[in-house]
Amino acid sequence: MDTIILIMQAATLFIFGTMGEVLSQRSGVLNLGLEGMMVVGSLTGFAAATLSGSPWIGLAAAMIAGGLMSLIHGFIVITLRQSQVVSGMALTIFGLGLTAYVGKHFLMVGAPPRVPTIVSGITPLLFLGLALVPLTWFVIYRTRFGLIVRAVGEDPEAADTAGINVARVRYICVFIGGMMAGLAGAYLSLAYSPMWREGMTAGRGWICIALAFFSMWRPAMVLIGAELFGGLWILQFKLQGMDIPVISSIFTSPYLLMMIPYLATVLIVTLVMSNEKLRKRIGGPAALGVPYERSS
Amino acid sequence: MKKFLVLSFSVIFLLGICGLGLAGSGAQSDKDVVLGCCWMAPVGDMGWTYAHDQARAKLVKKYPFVTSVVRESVSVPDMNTVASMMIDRKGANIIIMNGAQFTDVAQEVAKEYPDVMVAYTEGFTHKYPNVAYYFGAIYQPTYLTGLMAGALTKTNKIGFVAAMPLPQVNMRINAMAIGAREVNPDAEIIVKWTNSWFDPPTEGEVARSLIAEGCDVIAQHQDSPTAVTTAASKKLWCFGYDADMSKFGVGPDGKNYQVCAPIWDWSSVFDRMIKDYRAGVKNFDYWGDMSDGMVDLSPINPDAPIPAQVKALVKKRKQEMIDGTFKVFHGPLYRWDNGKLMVPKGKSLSVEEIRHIDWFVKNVVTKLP
Amino acid sequence: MKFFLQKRTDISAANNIRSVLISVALALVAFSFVLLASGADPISAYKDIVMAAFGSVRGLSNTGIKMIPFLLCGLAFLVPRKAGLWNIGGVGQLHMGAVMSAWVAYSFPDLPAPLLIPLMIIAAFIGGGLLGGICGFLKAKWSANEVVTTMMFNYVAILLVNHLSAYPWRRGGGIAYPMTSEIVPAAWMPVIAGTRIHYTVVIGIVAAIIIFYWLRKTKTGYEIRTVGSNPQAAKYSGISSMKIILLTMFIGGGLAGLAGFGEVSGLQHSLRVNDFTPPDARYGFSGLIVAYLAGMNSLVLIISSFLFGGIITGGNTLQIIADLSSGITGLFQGLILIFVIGGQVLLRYKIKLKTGEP
Repeated sequence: MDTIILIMQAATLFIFGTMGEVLSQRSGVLNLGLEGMMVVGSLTGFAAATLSGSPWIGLAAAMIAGGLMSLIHGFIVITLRQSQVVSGMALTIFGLGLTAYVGKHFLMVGAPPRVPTIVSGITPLLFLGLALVPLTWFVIYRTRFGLIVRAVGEDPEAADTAGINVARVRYICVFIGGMMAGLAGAYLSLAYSPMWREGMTAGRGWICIALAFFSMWRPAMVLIGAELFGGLWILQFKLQGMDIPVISSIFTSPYLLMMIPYLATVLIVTLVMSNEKLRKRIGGPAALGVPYERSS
Repeated sequence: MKKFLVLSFSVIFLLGICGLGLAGSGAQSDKDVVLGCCWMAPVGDMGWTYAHDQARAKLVKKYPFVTSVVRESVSVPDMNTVASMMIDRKGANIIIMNGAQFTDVAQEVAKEYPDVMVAYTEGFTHKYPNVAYYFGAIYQPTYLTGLMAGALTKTNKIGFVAAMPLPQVNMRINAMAIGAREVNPDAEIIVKWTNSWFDPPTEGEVARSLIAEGCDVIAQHQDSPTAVTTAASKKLWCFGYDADMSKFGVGPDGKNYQVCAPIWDWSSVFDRMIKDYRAGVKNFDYWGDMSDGMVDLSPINPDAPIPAQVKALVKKRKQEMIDGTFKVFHGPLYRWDNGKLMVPKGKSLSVEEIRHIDWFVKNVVTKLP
Repeated sequence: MKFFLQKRTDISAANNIRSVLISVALALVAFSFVLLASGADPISAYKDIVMAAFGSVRGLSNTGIKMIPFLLCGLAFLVPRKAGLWNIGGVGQLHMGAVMSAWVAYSFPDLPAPLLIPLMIIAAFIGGGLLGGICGFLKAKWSANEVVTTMMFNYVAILLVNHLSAYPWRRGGGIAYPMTSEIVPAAWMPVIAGTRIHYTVVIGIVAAIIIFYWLRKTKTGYEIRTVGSNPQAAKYSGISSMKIILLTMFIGGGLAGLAGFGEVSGLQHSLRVNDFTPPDARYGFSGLIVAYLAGMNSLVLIISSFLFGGIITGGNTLQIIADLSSGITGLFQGLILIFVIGGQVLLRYKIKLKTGEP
């Protein structure tokens, strides 16, 4: 039971980050700046919570900060129509640099006000993460907004012809994605390991991007992927001191064990894309990564 | 092609400006000492680098002829650049690198600048006569925490969040186990590895999984106080490392759960560096311990329910180690995996053997990955 | 007041340089405010940065060392990009090249340098190339998105380096950091006398020149550009996109692998856990940005990687000379990148004010 809670706590961070990225990608915008937005969320959350004394204010501030960061990306790729890949990379470098610089002042502060726990270390955020899965599913598949987002991601030209403001939809999705990334960062610095250190996200943003592809943009798959990733993460510590016949002889080091989710992502992406039927059923954003401009 | 030409010209132009602006580096009197501090992490890490920077500040204050220049978060590929910049531009004549990953680059810098003393920590290599290295008997205060942990545990399981199976970590785990066994023969040290010096979330995960396995006292060898924070949030007693982490050990009830922490005071070795450098010596292997104050124990939390006789034992052992009459690694010691006798009764490990230790004593529970 | 973007038809070299220069200038202005806020004099700080990076032989040497991985990883991004592919796996391919060349150095320590070093180069090229080639194969055969696959292999390769340096290849002797032992001196790439720049820089520059002409003047180059710019036309004219994808990804990956060879053989001489390339400035990712700055021109790439190396070197020393806090280096790089990328719009579009017209 304890192990399951540990895994779910680890997975909650991935759910937050990935869900935002999924929505952003659904609308056709790839945001590789997740790590940068997340680390900004961590610092803002920590700083706001410490200064105000309330973790909830911290979470809200982190979401706003993440959203604002994402607008930089949005401006560059939606309004200025520049490369999404390059802009995302730059956003990550910028976010890490900005937080390392500003975060100096918050290094020596002790533990921040923590998100309160309900029972034995479980925070409400864990349930929020779980609730997001059906919620996102509902929004994407059962609401008009979701329909519009999918239309914009699949065929922006057609959506534009139908009178949808492509840029506005993309801005909204990118902004929500940034807010979710900020939330993920604040979850890290206010609940999961309550402290601030520069670069504390340590690559978790990139894992979320991997998970977004792993999930094929489906909320249920995000949950599975996040739990799988969280599970392997915890498993590498569980396995220490155990001698399991086959596993122990193949995965002689935790580093080899950690390769599994990345290789699994490659496998899934290949399998899905290789099968025409499957690809059609998944219906991913065909216009992912393509800036949209009116031809007229 | 035109693009190429224009850009080439702008580069040449830029270089020209630089050439004109070339100025000599700041001249120093030969007695002045400039400490060039290349820290592997930011100073605010509340641990390893923080302790180093405290010592630097102490010496700059102590000697009027000592100044310092600091660069934080230096990675190995950047080290040579950073060190040469400190030497050329700021006249640094003692370069200090606080990590063993700098072993090779320290030799390179020393070769390039034979007049500069290059000191790094936790190493064994000096190819050139101006390389110095230093470390200390951090296992001594850790042994004292072991005594206390042995008295505090009720489940007889002490959790240890450890970075990597390397000698300076192993020596602390063993010392803790020896101490714990001395007051509580049933106490075991459960060790789990994070495979990283600094990764707060992972450190928290490992601490939580140790607690889930029944450990009720947590110790750590990591560069962040996450394990302390995690244990405190579950109201479990814990021990910090590197620096006093009591700031991070406040539990949900407002009580402080950090018992104490083995801490470093690098000022004695920095003092030695400065004195040696001024005397023209640029090479030493410094091994500090409790007697010169390089390692110590932070003040013990009065709230911790440590029995009076254990407190007295801690005090006694501390004095014996300062006097050099007590050796932590005294026989008989047996290996943890196959029970082989490693140190017979009446003997003890030499410092050199401790510095290379790659095995654990009997009441340590771990499997090397 | 509203403005809109009008597509330029005249993307020229002068325009490109102008847009980059304007963006850098804007970034410098923005960064000046940061400097002022930290209590530093921007003018003297900028002078220090330029001096540190280009103002002395040692500064140039440090800049040159940084330039090598940027140049090769930039090429690794550029070549597949010409065929319309996004290779963001430069990091992984670099690590793979490093692993392969280290493996050769550990396996054949007795070979003389003239044999050992070329062998390492070939191994590094094949190592990085295969990693890129696998992604190319998955793309060509099953249209698996190369952005995803190359990025995933980044982690796999980094974890492989961690695994090797912590376990099978771990240096003994009680050293307090998991790293591999130093490769034999015969496996060290020679350096240009008086500097620390290793001769991998020559490989990089020659490769950039060859690629420039290969892409422009040969039949294969023409095919690559056709596949990149107009896949439909390529299909009708009988160009095998399978061949082009595999070829460009293999060559791209191989070039990033050479960057890994340079790091191992020319500079670091060993592998380390988590610290082989600093996580905050992964050369592979920066390579992508450098290529972008060069307007996807491999000759200009030589210069842009040199200048970018200078920015990194100069920024690295900001804390030392201007006594600013350590995070400022990353902030400086980040600002420049954001502005330059945003500024590319000046290259491709004219910004026009919307006046009375509907």
